Amino acid sequence: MVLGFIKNLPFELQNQIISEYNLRVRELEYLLERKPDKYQWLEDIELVKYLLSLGIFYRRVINPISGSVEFTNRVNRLGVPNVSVGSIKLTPENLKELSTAVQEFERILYRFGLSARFFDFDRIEEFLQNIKELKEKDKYEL
Amino acid sequence: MNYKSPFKDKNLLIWEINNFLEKYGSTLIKHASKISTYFEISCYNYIIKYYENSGFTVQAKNLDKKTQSFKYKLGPLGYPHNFSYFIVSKTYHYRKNPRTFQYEIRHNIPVQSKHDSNIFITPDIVICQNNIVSQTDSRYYQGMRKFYFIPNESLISFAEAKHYNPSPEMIINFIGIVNELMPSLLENPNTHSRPAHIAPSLMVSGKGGGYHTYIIKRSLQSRYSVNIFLGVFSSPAQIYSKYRRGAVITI
Repeated sequence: MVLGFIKNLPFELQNQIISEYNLRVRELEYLLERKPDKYQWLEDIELVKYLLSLGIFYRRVINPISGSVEFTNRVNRLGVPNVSVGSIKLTPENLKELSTAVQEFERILYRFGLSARFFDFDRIEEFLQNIKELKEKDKYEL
Repeated sequence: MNYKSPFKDKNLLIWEINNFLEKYGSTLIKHASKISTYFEISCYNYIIKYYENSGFTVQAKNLDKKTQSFKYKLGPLGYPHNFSYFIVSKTYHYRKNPRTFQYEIRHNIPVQSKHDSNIFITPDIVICQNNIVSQTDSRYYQGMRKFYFIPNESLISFAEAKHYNPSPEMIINFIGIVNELMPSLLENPNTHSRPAHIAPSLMVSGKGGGYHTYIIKRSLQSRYSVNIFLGVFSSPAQIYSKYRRGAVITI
């Protein structure tokens, strides 16, 4: 499922994302095998894997781009029109395009109750806890 | 906004994300090769924001003469005079006598070691006095080009950006850089003069493995004048927030 996000990304970045995803999936499967009773509430494992891949994509691709947009906005406020990063030039035109992309991605996440905090975890147990909390919230709010 | 549940509307979530990728995929791909640089740029921005929120005035300097753009330096190679940087300044009124302090915030410039003048380290971000030295030394770059660096006495502080999940080793390795560049901060923690500067900082995008990483961060910050910022991905404001200023160690 993670491959849907990364086709056409540079090879090195693809490799980093795939290896993080595979590592997390292995951890998840190991945990579910060892503690099936504790995670009985997890009905849809495919959804967990999808959210995992979404989180990795957010952290590794969208978030740094969002940071560069913020930096360029700062520089623009100081009266400087563009930022050059090697061969890439961040102009007001392509900044608008990037900024819209970041906002659109975050809007989708927000609509589904997902945020940067939701995706910020170290151990897979933490991520499952975040999912559990979101599921609990769902019961009452939707 | 019409809120949805990923559990009940999974197909809608997948459909929205696929639509997003179809619409913006090519835009993102154009920038994907610079992702790790963009994280560094974000951290550079947080440091600038920290100074701005501490009452400093910020100016962009050394813009490209033709295009007027801010030229970001991607690595330690490249002459500093070909790249842009920021100047931060703050004025204090000592019995009506104003005195202005001015510093440069640069990125990817080698800094001379405190222990050995022939050793240079390149932190991602450097806060320094306006004093970059150049020399031609046949031992560096085979004598083919000039070697630029910041002399150790002009170094004010520095920061390292890591787009990873932190490991204990990564955090502790940072102390090695502090020891090489600013060893006094390992001996006399929390002494600072006016104006206060952010102490050497490690900024890590990942949050780290819970309790162990947390106690390493707490222990290092209590022993030395350093900041260990973890989880910068989800809470960047820990670096620059006006309301959490007390939690940031200054020198």
